[in-house]
Amino acid sequence: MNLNSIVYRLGIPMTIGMLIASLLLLWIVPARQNAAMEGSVQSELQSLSAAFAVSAQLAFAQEDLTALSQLNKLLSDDRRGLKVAVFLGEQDKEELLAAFPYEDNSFDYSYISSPDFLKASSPFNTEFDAGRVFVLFDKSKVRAQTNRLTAPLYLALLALVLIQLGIYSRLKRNVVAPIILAAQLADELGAGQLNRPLQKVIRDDELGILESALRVLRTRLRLERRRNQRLMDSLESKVYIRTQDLRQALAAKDTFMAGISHELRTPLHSVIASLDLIATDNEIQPAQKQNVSLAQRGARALMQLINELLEFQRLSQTEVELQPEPQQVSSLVSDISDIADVLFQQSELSFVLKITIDANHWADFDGHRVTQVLLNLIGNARKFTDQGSVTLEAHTEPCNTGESLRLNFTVADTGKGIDQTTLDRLGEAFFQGDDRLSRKHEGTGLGLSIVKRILAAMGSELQVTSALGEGSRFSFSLTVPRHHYSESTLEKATTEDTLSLSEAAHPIEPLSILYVEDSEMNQMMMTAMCERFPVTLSLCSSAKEGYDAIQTQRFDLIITDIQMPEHSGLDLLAWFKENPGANSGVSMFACTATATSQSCDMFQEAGFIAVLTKPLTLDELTVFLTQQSVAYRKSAIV
Amino acid sequence: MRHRFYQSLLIALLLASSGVTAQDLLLIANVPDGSQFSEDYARSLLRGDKKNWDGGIGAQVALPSRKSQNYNEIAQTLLGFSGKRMQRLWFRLVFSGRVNPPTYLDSDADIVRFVMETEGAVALITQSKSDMSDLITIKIAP
Repeated sequence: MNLNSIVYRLGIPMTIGMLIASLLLLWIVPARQNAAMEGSVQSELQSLSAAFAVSAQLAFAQEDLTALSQLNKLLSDDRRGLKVAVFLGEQDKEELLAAFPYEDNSFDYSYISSPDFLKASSPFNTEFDAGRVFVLFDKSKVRAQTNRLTAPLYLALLALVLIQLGIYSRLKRNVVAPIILAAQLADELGAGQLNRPLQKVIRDDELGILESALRVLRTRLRLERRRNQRLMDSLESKVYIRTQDLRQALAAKDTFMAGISHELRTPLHSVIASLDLIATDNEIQPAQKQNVSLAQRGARALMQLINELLEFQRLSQTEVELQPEPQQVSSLVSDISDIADVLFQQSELSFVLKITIDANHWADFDGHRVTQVLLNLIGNARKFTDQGSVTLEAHTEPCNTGESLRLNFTVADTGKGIDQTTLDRLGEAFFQGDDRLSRKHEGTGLGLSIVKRILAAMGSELQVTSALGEGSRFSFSLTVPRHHYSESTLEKATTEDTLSLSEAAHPIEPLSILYVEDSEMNQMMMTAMCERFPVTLSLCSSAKEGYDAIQTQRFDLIITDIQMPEHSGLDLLAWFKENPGANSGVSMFACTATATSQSCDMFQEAGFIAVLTKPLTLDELTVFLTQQSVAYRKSAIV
Repeated sequence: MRHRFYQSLLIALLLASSGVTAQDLLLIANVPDGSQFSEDYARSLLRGDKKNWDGGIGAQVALPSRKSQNYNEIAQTLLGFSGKRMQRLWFRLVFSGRVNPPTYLDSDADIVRFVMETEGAVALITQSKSDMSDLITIKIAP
């Protein structure tokens, strides 16, 4: 029951009106009518009593009973049942002389005081007799008369009730129900349900107009929907075409980027490797050594530029993918410190490490990304600091009732500082604080932008404070889930630590290596670098050649380029996995200039043990061969 | 006995005071056509026991008024009580509708004239009149 319905809004006042009308008709009107009738009867009784008194007066004074007889006849003809009594004597000592009707022998003086009668009295007085005439009328007859008169009122009331019920019924059926239907239809139209068949109702009233308007609205909505659908189809088609175009463009761009990366890295690989070889040549003159050193710095700057551009491009089009792994925080910071130490070896600056980290603090996070961020910040600090030091501060603290760790890192320098305008723009892509033509420092201006994106992906933010002439501080905090290390984790870490120590302690083993590379220049560089180590290098110029060599000759390591004519390094890997020939159990490594992390991940997923990226420096090759020597020795022991 | 003695004495005194001696009364009636006359019926008409003659014609009773010399005598003869009480009786009878209203007349002559002129009239008088030949007359002992 909805009390806000129009039926109730109209019905309740109507019902109240009906109750008031009922009250008037059933109680007040009859009561007033009864009173009026009693008043009228009372008046008539008074007149009659006066007339009877005059008649009695005539009868006693003039001995003329004619008027009395006529009054008697009048009373006899009157059907209202009047009672008349004549009393003689003084008041309160009166005796009944005569009464009408005659048959009413029980008439006595008590009638006079009875509340059941309306009464009127008139005195008469002659020299012979005196007394009073009483005229009485039974009140019940007045009430009966009133009831007869008010009976039509009851009928009228009943008729009103029936009319009201009829109005309710018609209102509900003919007004409320169509309005509810119209509202439901409007709801359906609003919800886009335009296909429900409408029951056709022909009405020429306001609801008919409403229904007609809704029909028209539905028709228009249908037309509009069809028009919109056509428009939507057209737009979707255009969007699809544009999306395809965009995908093709992006694919072309990716191909281009991969290609340009490969094409840039491949010659750079030769340049860096050649310079490394020259620089480590004992017969080189001091003056030449300086020139070679300059060439090395230039080559490495070019390599960093290429790497940053590729990384920025990758982060621009995709989300930063994090790969959380259990990390011993102190170990990670120590590794970063080791790398930083190398950066500062040939610098007048000193690198200071301030660590407050519990050795038991392990956490799940992407250590590679944290390393990338910190090395970027340290590199920037080194680049923009002329004298003094660069400090890496790191400390951890448990939070969230020990379930998480907060890692706080700060890279501080004693450089010239950054003004506020530069601070506000720091992190914008390609922005550098010193954009003069004669600027002192090299770089793309992408480093901090990459840092910011990585930190944002980790839920952190880079905080920079700086004072001109005093230096700058770059800080960030990471809240990472704490890793409750198990024995296996410790064992793994211990093994890795042990391995590192072994690597440092043991020389490179005499290894037999197959190197599959289509570039003659790269073959020459690898050959030249390997001459520094006790390894035997076999060269193949294609995947097919490499596969044939694998089938016939045993090697300790297989290294293959990826991008080669006809068949790629991935094809060679697939063939090798299917048929390892004489090299069952031998590890295959990729060495490629297609060096995006995405590509590297893909190559490792395909089955390569690791990926060596071009340009491959002599140092990197040294580390690689050392690691493989250790692995070789372990497998030999087993 | 003593009571009855005083009552007779009172009546005699009343008659003497009026100059009329105790005498026979005459019942006179103008009997309407179709009605039978009898003394008892006529008496019942005069006492108010009946309203109409036996033929259905209404009886017109003539009674002596207070001014009449026979006011009390006739009442005494007919009803055994005074003229005033007789008047009250006839008041009650007329009021209740059981009889037609009587006509009060001052003298026997007026009564005789009324009876002669009114069909269905009936009355009691004390003295006979010469012109009552058309009336039924019955002598009634007091």
